[in-house]
Order: sequence, then structure tokens, then C-alpha cells
Amino acid sequence: MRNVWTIAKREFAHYFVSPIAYAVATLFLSILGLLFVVNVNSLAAQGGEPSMGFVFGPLTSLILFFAPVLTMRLMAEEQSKGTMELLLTAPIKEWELVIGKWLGAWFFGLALVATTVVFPLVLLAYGNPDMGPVYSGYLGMALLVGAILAVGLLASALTGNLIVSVAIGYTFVLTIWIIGIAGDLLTAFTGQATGILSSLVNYLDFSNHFSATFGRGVIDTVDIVYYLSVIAIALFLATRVVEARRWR
Amino acid sequence: MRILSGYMPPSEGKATVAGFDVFTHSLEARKHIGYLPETVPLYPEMSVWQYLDFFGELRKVPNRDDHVEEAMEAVHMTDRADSLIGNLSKGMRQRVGLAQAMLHKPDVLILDEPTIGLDPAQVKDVRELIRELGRERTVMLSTHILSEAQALCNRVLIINEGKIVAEDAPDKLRSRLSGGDRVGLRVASDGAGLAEALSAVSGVTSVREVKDGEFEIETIPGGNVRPELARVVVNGGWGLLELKAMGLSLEEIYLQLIQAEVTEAETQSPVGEAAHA
Repeated sequence: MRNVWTIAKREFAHYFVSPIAYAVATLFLSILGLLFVVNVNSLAAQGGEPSMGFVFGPLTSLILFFAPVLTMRLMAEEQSKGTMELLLTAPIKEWELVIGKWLGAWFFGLALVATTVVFPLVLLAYGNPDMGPVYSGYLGMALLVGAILAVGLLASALTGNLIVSVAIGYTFVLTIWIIGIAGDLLTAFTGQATGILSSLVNYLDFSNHFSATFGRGVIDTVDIVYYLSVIAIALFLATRVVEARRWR
Repeated sequence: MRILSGYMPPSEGKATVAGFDVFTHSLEARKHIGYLPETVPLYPEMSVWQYLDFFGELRKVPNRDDHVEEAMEAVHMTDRADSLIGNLSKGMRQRVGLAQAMLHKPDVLILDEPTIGLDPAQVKDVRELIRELGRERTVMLSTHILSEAQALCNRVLIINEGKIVAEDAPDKLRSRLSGGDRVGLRVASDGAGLAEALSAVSGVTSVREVKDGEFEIETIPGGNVRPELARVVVNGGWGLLELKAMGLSLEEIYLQLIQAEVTEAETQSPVGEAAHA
């Protein structure tokens, strides 16, 4: 486990030595801030009570866009620079390497999400928001970020090229993100919302597990299990990919 | 080398390092190895100290700071501890790579072409460092530069097409292959009649006139015939200018061996090994 921690620390620190952390965080906060101000203003003009939906909605979309960028170099760069050879000849196991890398990225993702805490604080200062969805939302967000970064890490493990890594990352992430649309289509065609196929497809959808539950203050084990299994499967596959590389 | 370092599994056969099979007991074997791949793998955004500290932590080196300090001293990089690796020259990077490989004081150091792409002064530095390291532990290095193997190694393996074609100490390899000692001789006169006189000396197997007044003499191994040769030249009044023992270079040995092998095969890298332990 100490190896996992060693790798995670280096990975987390790496985000801050490259401009990527600052670029992403700046973009992140300015887009969210802009949307937040616009939404809260228009809602306040109508006399409604603003909620965290204004933050979590755009936040999930932004994470979708930034995740493959944040994960692209995790494994692919080690491969292209040849440092993978050193890591794999050091006395550490492949799974320690993969989990350490993911943890480092996840900590950075969490740090990024944590910067958005400023929005509920603003709501608290000027209004009377329902705090339940705020807590559940951040719990869900932590899981969602972990899952999407694990998928991005898997994409990065598949190639030694950063561009290819980003492309594969977007393919994976978009697929599980919009698969729910296919589910909706299935429902429309078959005319039944509870068919096995359409409920399976809907279950696989990434955002369904957040917006309908965590984002509204509902903590459902189904969603927790979903995100945890995505993390487990992606990291397991990434480990196998790294192991398989030895045999080539 | 990648197999020995535990990076790749062997396609056939088995390999052990410090008594551990690199495949079945990979983690244990890896603990005893320091490895420097051909293209030195570095993190350019880290400082020398950070980089060494990171690998020290991965390898669970006790008293990490001391070990890092020691490794940097050994490669004369202490004054650049806080420089970013990306800003270092190629020779310095090579030295950082070496420091990484020796950081945890491994029993076996595996170096893949450690002097490739360095300028002559840096090559000299790195070679001296390797020689120093070889005093305390086993150093195994591969090289295409045969004079390097000759200068550095106690034991040389020549590998062609994945098979060991020769294995011995460089001088033994030399005398074994040349089948004897070789002596170079230069005289002041044109050397007329000298060849015949030299051939008559006991122990001489052949005499070749390189050009006027210059001869190469092959003798039986170990029979030191140079005093006798000198006497013949001096007594005959040829005017002795130079008399020297000549060795076959590793290049010549290598070519002889490879030519003896199947000739259509493409030549692969020779591997030199400096064994200490």
C-alpha cells in the first residue's frame, strides 16, 4: 500500500507543476461562476429559491469534458517517455501502480470539485437553501469523478500516445454518458419503460445515476454500487493492460 | 537485459538474479537489481533530488535522504540537486539515471549502453564511475563500443542472434582466438633476409612483412620469445627500432566469431559484462 501512496503523491503533485491544473481550474470556475450568476439572477427575479442544481448540472458536463484531458498522460506518458520500464522494474506490482495513478488523479479531481464549495456558501449567505442535496450532491460528485477518471485512466493505459489517449478517453466517456439516450429510444420504440433491455441500458448510463438521485438529495445504494463497480472494472482492466504489455 | 531486469518475461529458458527467478519471484529479483535502460527514463519536470527521492521511496530505501545524498555524490551531481532534470545536459541526465540505478545499493547493476550519445569527456566520466561501482558490486553492461568492453569489463560475453558465441575475460578471449601472441617489430634497414632469420627462432609460428622494415610475428601462446627475437635483430645488424607485444582487439575477435557463425544472419548487439562478485 505504501507504493500506492508514493505513486499517488507524485501524480497529484504533477498536476500542479504543469500549467494544466491552473488552466482547468480557471476555466472550470469561470464557466461555473458565470452560469451560477446568470441562473440565480433570473430565478431570483421570478421569486424562486435557487438550488445547487445550478452548480451540479453544469459541473457534471464540465467534468465530462475535462476528465480525458486530466487522465490522458497518466499511463500514456510513462509509456512514451520510457519511464514505464523503470516503474515496472522497480519492486512494485502493476495494481499498485494503477491504483496509485488513479488516486492521484482522483485527489486532484476532488480538489477541483472542492473549489465549487464557494457556490453553496454564497447560497447560504444570501438565502436559505436545502442543505440535503448539497451534501448528497458532493458525495455523488466524488463518486462520479472517481468513476470517470478511472475510465480515462483505462484509456490512457491502452496507448503510448497522448492524442490517441484523449481520443479513446472521449470515446469511452461519451459512450457511457449518452448511452441513456439509446435507452430512451428503446423505450420509445418498444413502448414499455420497464423492458429488460431498456432498463439495462438505462442502468449503464453515467449521468442517470447522479442527476436523478444524488443531485436531488437521494442516496441510493444502486448508484453507489454503480460508480464503485465502474471504478473497479476500469482499474482492473487497466491493470491487465499494463501486465499484458510485458508480454509484447 | 529487459528479461533480467524483470520487465519482460523470457520467451524460453529461465533467468535468475541473486538466486531469484525473474519470472516466478519477480518482485524479489527486482529488489536486487538497479537498472538503467538505453534511453534514460526521467521525469523532466522533477528536480534531481525529487526524482531520486521518488525512486528511493518506491524502492523503500531506509534513511532515504542519506542514500539520495550519497548517490548524487557518487555521480558528482550534488550541486545540481535542485535543478530540473529537463534543464540538464545529456551527460548529466545519464549520471542522474546512473544515480537512480545505484540508489538502493543493488547487488546487480544492469546498464544498457550507458555511454551512448555522450561526448568524450562525459564518456570518460561515466566509465570511471562504472569502474568504481564495479569494485563493490556486479555491473553488467551492454555496449556496441567494443573498446569500452575491453577497457571496463572483467568478463565479456559476445551474443549473436540471441546465442552466446564467446564468453571469457577480454585478454583470455584474445589469446584464445588468436591462438598465440603477436609481436610487432620495426627495424631501421629494409629488413632484407630478416623474415627468414626470425622464422628460425623457436616458438615463432609465422612471420609477415607488413611493409619494408616492419614485421608482424605470431608466436606460440605463453612462449615469451621477444628477447630471442631482439637478439636475432641486433646480432644481424638490422637496427632494432621497435619491438612490441600486440593484442588482437575485441573488434577483430568479434568479427572472427561472427563470421564463424552463420553468415547470412544479421549481427546483433554484443554484450559485455564486468563481473566483480
